[in-house]
Amino acid sequence: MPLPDTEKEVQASSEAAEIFVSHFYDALNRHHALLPYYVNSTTRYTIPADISINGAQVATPADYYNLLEAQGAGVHYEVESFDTHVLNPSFQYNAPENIYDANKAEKSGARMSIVVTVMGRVQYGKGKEAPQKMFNETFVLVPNWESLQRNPPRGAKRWLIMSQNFRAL
Amino acid sequence: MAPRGSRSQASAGRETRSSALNSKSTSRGGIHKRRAGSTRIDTDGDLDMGTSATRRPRAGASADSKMSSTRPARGTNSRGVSRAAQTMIKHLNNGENSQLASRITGSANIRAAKSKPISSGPLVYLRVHGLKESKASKNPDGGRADLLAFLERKASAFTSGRQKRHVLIKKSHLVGDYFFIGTSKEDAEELLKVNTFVFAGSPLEIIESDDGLGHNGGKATESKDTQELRAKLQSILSQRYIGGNKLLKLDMLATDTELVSLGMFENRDRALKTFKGLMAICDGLFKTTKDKQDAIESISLANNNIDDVTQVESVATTFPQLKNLDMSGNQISNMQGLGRWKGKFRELETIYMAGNPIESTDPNYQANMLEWFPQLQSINGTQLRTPEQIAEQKAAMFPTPIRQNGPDFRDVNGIGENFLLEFFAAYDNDRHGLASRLYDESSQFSLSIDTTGVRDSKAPPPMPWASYIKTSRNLTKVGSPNARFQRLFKGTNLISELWKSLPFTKHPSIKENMSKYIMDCHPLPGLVDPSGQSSVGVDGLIVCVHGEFEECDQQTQRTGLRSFSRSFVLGPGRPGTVPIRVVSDMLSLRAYNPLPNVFAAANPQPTEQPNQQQAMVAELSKRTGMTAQYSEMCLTQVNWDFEKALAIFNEKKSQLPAEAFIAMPQ
Repeated sequence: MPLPDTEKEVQASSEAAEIFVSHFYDALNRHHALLPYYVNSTTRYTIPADISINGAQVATPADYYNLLEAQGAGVHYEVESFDTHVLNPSFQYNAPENIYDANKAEKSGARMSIVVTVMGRVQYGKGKEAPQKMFNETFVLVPNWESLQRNPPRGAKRWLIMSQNFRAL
Repeated sequence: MAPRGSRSQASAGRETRSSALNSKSTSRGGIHKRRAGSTRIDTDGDLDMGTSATRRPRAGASADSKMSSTRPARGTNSRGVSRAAQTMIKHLNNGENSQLASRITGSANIRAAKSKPISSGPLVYLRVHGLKESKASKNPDGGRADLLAFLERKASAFTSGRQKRHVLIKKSHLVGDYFFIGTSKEDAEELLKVNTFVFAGSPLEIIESDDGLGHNGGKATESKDTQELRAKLQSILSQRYIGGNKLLKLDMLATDTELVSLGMFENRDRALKTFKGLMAICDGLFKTTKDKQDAIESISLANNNIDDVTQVESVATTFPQLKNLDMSGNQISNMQGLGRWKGKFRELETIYMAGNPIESTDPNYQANMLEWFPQLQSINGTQLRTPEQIAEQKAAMFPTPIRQNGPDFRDVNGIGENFLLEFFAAYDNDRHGLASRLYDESSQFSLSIDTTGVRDSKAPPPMPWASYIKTSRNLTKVGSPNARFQRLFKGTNLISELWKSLPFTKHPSIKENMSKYIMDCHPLPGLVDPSGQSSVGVDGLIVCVHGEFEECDQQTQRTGLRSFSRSFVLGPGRPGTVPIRVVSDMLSLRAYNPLPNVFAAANPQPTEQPNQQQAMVAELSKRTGMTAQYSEMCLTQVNWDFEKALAIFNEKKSQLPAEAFIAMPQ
């Protein structure tokens, strides 16, 4: 089992986090569907993502989407800082047998699980007078096994949310 | 694929940052102010402080560097009486003659442009005295044209020794008893020789002006007449000010015998200028905006025959914080007539519009006014909305944040709770011990700072970032692979060493100050099994803590509060060592802001401990198969009586939707 070296870990995890953070908050701001970002979107994972929003456990990504929509129009999330660590360089949970070129995938860091912490601001409404709050959100991202198959589906995300912890502060 | 990808990502991160900066800078509103300034330009093109700032780039385009370099400094001290005086002078003395002045200025500029080779370089300004005493002052233009011709002719005569040159006066401006002229350096030398010449029966005094064209309006150049006039207007104003009511009565100005006797309302133009002058004097009377605001809350402009507020626009710019305004008995006939006040008077609460034609011509005018003036409550003495309604309306304009709940602390065997109790005390007092106890060679730590976070503007300035900035791993800012590698601290030794260099901290006691923390945690599968037995990995815990600590910087000895969020991933320890280890520890720092009180928000009954409630929710969920959310809803309904909750569940079981139940693992 050829694990990625530390430099590879740092590079692959920062890259994964960067892509995830920019796409995920863009999806929030544009009211796009959120399901594709979660492990709930694939049958490969037998457990749903653990979503905790302001201290309330939210059952599904669709429920979280509804919570977001219920806030009303004009909520904007802006990331001001993020950081990431590798949790498990060779994540095995619910892993299929048929990972394409498994050794290479593992060495390049494609099957890591990572933790991503994000700090930023939420603006509730447009304009100068709109109230603003800080937020802090921590995710655990795990490999999307479907994207590691021989012919991955088009546009499949590389990493999916297994754990989400949001707090407006 | 790697380096390229990572770099392009980094630049994308930078872009978002710079766009954030841009949006900030536009929201400052500096530009708006300018625009407001330029709309204040006099209708007849008079030169005054307000307008000269905008006119100058055009008028003085012929390299007027001296003026432009000295101007800003003057601008800053021209707020007070001097500005009022100067505006008064302009309005009262200059009158209709100003058109001539601007004509001369204009034509001189054209000439200057033609004779550019000679006249490059800054203008020199001279102050001429004696025009007022001369016979020419009886001329329709006050003798200016004659004096200009006289000066140019006489000065040109001095150049006859060499090749004869025509001396040009490029700018001129009459201020009080003095006539200011601007000219090139060579011509100024010739013009100074005309000093003591007799012009129309009056000896001239020509000296260099240290005050440009006299725009500064220092008292030195203010004529006696102006001073007297200003004093008179001030006394009129003070008679019209009712201190007890903080009311300035500017009603029926045209019938004020004193003002009329001063000739201030001879014609429409004069009346408009008088009004501006009065506003300028008002403005000059107060040292600070606060003084002004405290002294004058109400103004009456009743019965002034105003048909368009453009005529009295300066009330809005002079008293932006005005609370009450009486406009009754004027001639406003539609909303356009109020157009220049739109977006102004942001704090106006009461207005009287009775006796204006608009009452009959525009049935919707009151609704429009409520829209235009955000704090307006009452029109013509009828309260149309309360401050509470205004606040509600304002809140309704903004989205409603997702509600806060108490801690979502789904602990396993008290591991999370015990860890946190130990962690913060140890981090404050014995970081080295903590690092060697709970961290091992594969534990990771990094910190990231957000220096631009939201902050309460009333809070003290944020603690400096210097102690953290060199090790901050905020990946929106730290782009290079090497720096990202360097700022990730792995293993007890590196972590312990870094912690030693970070400022001292004092976290509130968790037991005594629970409300200063928000802690969420839940189990997490798939961590590395340190024993190497399970290839699928082992379960751990992810813990997210938000709170504050007191910081003391060893170098600066500065202490203060800082807000933090800290995310831990905890896993089982290596066999034979401690039971748990820190897999990952990420510290996020930002300026201090108190936390939202999630306990109050979550808990209508503060007597109940949230932990007990959580336990009840978990128990109910276990017994009924309902999700935690539904279990909590159920318990809240029956006031956290567990038996009742079970009863009500059995009663309504069949009516519950499928989503109320936890999906059974396949």
